[in-house]
Amino acid sequence: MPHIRLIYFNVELRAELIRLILTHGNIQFEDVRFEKEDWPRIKEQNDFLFGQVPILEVDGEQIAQSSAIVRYVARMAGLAGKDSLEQAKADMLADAFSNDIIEKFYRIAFFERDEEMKTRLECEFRDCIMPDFLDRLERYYISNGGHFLLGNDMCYADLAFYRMINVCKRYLRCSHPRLRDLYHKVASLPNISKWEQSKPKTRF
Amino acid sequence: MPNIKLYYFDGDGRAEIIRLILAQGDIKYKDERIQVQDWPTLRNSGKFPFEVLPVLEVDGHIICQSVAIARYVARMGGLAGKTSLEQAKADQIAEYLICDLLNQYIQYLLEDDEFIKLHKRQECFEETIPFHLDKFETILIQNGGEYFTGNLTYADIAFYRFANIVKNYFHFEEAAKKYPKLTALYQRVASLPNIKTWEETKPPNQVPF
Repeated sequence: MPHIRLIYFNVELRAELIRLILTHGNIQFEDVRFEKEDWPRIKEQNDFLFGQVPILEVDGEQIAQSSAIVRYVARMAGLAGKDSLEQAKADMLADAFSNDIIEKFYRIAFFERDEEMKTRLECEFRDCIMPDFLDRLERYYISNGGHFLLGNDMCYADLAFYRMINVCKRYLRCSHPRLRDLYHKVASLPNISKWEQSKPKTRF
Repeated sequence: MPNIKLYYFDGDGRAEIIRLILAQGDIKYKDERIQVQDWPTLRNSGKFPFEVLPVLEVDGHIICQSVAIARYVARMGGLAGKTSLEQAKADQIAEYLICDLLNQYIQYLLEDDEFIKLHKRQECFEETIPFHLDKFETILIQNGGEYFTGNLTYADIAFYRFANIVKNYFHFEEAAKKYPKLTALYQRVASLPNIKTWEETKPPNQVPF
């Protein structure tokens, strides 16, 4: 097993899914966290590949881009998908959760300064974007048998789903009973529930 | 070989990277081009679970999200990377090129407000892209100077595609002096026989990028 260090701010944001996969996969890793005010110093001391974090160090070699890291640790944990087609389906779902939903949420929650625009975007997100997306996701989930997202076996897309719901919780309005069951199924996995209890508590 | 259909509008856009990888990987597929006026009906037909394009249909299975599709066809064409680590190294670069940088460019392209558009253009072409080109050049040098991971992967093809999208915003001779390895990589990919054949025979582009 290679020596793994995950380097990121002391927040969840773009590292939490990586931590969830490593934890569920029982993969030892160093969860290196630093505070915002230490970033200039950390950036100078380390030659990060693209000047950004998260970074995964694998026996000293760097991998950047949270989605590339997510897939790498998913492969390591045996959660990538059992064949190439299933990997593509897992990637498709995880990309949708991340790019179509979570990034939109972050834009509203953190980057939109105009109060009126922020309120409008929040309403659109809560009343249109999330319900539409979850409608389609629930149909897709049911068409795959309704156990895990892609079928009988869990993959990292189930953890990505769990992460997406945690991020967007306050904008969840409609009930999607099958997806709610899936959320609780993932939340009750022993490694996941242990992680949630023992992880550092941060604002986001 | 599975039965493969690629659905997208009648143009390059977000599907072109997939077509380039399919070409280089010598993979047979049906290039289904959808006319803009036919898309609403097709979208509501229930055939596409997430109602976005491009979509890859593989023996009836539907995959969407251009990066997920690109990686899938890259694996099929032996262009994903030989080990898990090499795949991650290819993925990280391809993500910037197919996703982050492209999305920033598209945001600039679609901006209506003249002043904001000017600001976005500056940010894109004077800050973000040059910053990443510096990094890509360094990574190339660190990996032997020919390909991003040392071997040809879809990340190199993604660079070629991205360069085609933005090249008119750069002065070629200046760029060639500043990024000699990237320039050579571009020429290297452009000269691959399958890529050359595709460029010479493909339908004309009818979408904005």
